[in-house]
Amino acid sequence: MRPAIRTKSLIALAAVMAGSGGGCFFGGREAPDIKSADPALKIPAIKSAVDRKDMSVVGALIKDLESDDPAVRFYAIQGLQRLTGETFGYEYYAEADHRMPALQQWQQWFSRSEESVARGGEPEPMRARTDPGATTQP
Amino acid sequence: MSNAQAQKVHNISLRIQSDAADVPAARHAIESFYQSHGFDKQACEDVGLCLNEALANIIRHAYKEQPSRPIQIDAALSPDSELTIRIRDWGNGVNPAALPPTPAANDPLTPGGLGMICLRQMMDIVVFTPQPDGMLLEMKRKKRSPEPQNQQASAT
Amino acid sequence: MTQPIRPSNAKVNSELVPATRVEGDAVLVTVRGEIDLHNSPELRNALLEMLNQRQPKRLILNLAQVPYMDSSAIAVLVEALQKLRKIGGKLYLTNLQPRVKGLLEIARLDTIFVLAATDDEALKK
Repeated sequence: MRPAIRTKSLIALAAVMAGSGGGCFFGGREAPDIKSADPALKIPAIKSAVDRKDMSVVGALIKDLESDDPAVRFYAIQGLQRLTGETFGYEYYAEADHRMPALQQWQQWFSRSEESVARGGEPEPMRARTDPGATTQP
Repeated sequence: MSNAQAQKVHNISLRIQSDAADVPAARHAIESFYQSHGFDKQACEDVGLCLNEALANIIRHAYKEQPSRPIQIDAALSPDSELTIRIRDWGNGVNPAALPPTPAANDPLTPGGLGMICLRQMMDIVVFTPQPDGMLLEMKRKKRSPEPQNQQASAT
Repeated sequence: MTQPIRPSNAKVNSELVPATRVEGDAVLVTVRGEIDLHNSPELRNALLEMLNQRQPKRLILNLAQVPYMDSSAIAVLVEALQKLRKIGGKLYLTNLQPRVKGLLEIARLDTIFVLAATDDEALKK
């Protein structure tokens, strides 16, 4: 039976990244960057931000739901689910037009959240941040 | 187990051609290698799948489906049960991890997207290092409980 | 993988797809062998041609004899699922071996198909 949780040492990973003379890895010479167009830099940044529960990346992750790279979409929606408890039914593997309704829900949710914060209120309420059925970390 | 045996690094090397029909044989060989050193079935299967995905990307993207191009596979197991697979190709230097998006593609799981997901989920480190004449991919997976079993059992 | 369907490659009752039968609005297809980059195009052609011809409401794939699939094989299943959805159909996978189920779980695709232990169970769903 597959193990329930696979834990990955991000500290060890960061040490390897710092010492790596390699090209495009989970980093390589360049630091992970959630805004990078290179999935090799973007994806470890997503993982790291989600592990830190860094809510400031939510906007960037919602943009990544539009990526043409299904791997980027996979990690973006996993991250959003872990941070917010929501998916709005987004399916990373679906065709673009099928993903659109859920994407629009994410964008509307994010707009409401930003407006609320701008008015000095609380961000859009989120469901409890549980990981129902999560068997692997992104 | 003697100290020397405990420190031994185990290796296997294969050279195949860029033919999808030859990928299963390479996969089985690497899975058998790690299984013979005590890795549990699940770990061997994960590694085999990652090798498959990496080779598929080389055949599809680095060699653009050209047959009879070389691919070198080296698999190693360190004394602390970290496994490393290095795959060298002499293709167009494309890094499948950084492929530009192909908006026209109908396949929702391109480009190599699901294969990349598998690599990132199952391996701890995935490094693409461009070479002057191709690409070197190195994948590492650190020891995860309960693998492997034989080394502990045979310790004296 | 925007390849056209090549009917000449889509063999009915081939080694890869040794059996196909119809039960009501369901088409049951037996798949056999390891499915990877080498032969997933053949599976794709077989499934898409069958979907075009029969437009089933239910496609049930018996994977009891499939010990291994790679991402290209999973992509074929996802493509078949999407084609079925467009005609209001469903895709069932039966008799999954643990390795194949594990791959679907890793890719978070295990819930998009209807999984069943047997063909009969799928037919009853």
